[in-house]
Amino acid sequence: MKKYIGIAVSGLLAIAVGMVLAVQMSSTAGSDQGGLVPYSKLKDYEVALSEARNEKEDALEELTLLQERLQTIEREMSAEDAVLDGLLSETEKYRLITGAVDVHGPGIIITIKDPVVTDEYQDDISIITYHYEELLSLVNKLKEAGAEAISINDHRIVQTTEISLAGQNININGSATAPPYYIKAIGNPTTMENAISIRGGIVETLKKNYNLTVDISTDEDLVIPRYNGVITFRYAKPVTESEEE
Amino acid sequence: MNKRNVSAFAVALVIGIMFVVQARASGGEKIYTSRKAVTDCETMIASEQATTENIKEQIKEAELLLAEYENDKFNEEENVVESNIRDEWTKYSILAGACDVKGPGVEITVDDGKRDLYAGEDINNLLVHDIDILMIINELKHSGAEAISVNGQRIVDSTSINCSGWTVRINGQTYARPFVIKAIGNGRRMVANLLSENGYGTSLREWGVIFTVEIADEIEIAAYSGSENFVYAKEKGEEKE
Repeated sequence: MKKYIGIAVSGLLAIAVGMVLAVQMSSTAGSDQGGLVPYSKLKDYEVALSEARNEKEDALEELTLLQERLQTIEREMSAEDAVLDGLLSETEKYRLITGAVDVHGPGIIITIKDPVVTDEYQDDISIITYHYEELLSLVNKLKEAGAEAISINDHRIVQTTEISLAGQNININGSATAPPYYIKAIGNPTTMENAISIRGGIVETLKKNYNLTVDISTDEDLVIPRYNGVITFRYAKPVTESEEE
Repeated sequence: MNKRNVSAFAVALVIGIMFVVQARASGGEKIYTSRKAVTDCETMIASEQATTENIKEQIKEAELLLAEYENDKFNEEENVVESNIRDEWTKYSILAGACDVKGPGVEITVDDGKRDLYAGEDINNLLVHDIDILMIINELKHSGAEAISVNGQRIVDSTSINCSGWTVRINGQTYARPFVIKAIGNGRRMVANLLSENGYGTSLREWGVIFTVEIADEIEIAAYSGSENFVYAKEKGEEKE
């Protein structure tokens, strides 16, 4: 009898060890084995990214200062010419509404995060990236609610802006972006927030259909950066019949 | 027999300790992250750097222009400042949709599908929705469209397109099917993208929605009829009010 107790105990132990091993194996099976990267390495990349962003912002500031100097000269030299002066003030107005300058004002910030990953679906699949048309739809809804300036992850939405899927990322104004997404909109905060959060509306769709985390916060004074690309018209020409020239 | 028991116990003990050690090492935090997080970072760094290069090009051009402006002050004959003011005005008035424009491009017609429904099929499959028009416009912009109109309404920065029952509201005006979308730009590129295998035009046709696109040598697009005035957004740095 004593003989068998020993075997039974080691048998139980073997079962317990086997179960623990099985649990651990299955919990790593879902993620791409061998594809895992130490978190500390990601930190290095994040530092490099913020450096690249700072460099961009510095360059943009330099450009803005130069453009301001050009405008000062333009204004000085056309002070006596009523036509030119008129063109200048119109251009200034157009630059404001077309997103060529930084703006600030009251508005809302919408944060969209991918669902928290469970073991099986690792975060190699970004839900919001594959449903980028929802971002397009959200921007459209914000405009309907009277948003005057909108940016997604600090990329200004202008008349020529496209939101497209390029490989694993969403491109906005030709620049690659990744989740989480921060959508800033300047306008009437109450109208915008209520418009997008109605029952069955866009925010509910994002939450219920795609299991995304969506947060809306209001801000008294948001800053939305200018568009930083070059605008050229190669095909479109103004129709000049009864107009000037 | 007793010896065997002891050794089995020792093995189990060591394994147990190993598990605890492993669990402790991570301290409840993530020690590993997915490869996607790293590639995302790499992609974004590359694209930020490309943007910076592009801005630096613009800085060079602005510096050249500044030199010319300085030169202009002492030169009565040439007038770089004046021609630049006119060019900038033209550029921004096209962008703001303030003037009629013409040029080569494409004309697209989208209409509800005419085919019979399959048994139990939802009629919505054959109807044109606001998201369809938004996606077509987005695809056109992606293909470099310079000016776009839908049923004669110029698409500007503030334009929204929304389904309201059987009609669609664009720039606050109401329209119904069919939808005629005009775009000025590289016609071949726009058609190629819309009708590619994954193009939005192709997928609309697969649903059964009528989608036609034609290249035109000259398209005219009217100016935006509304007026845009910012109430909330103020230019940064100008704190007069």
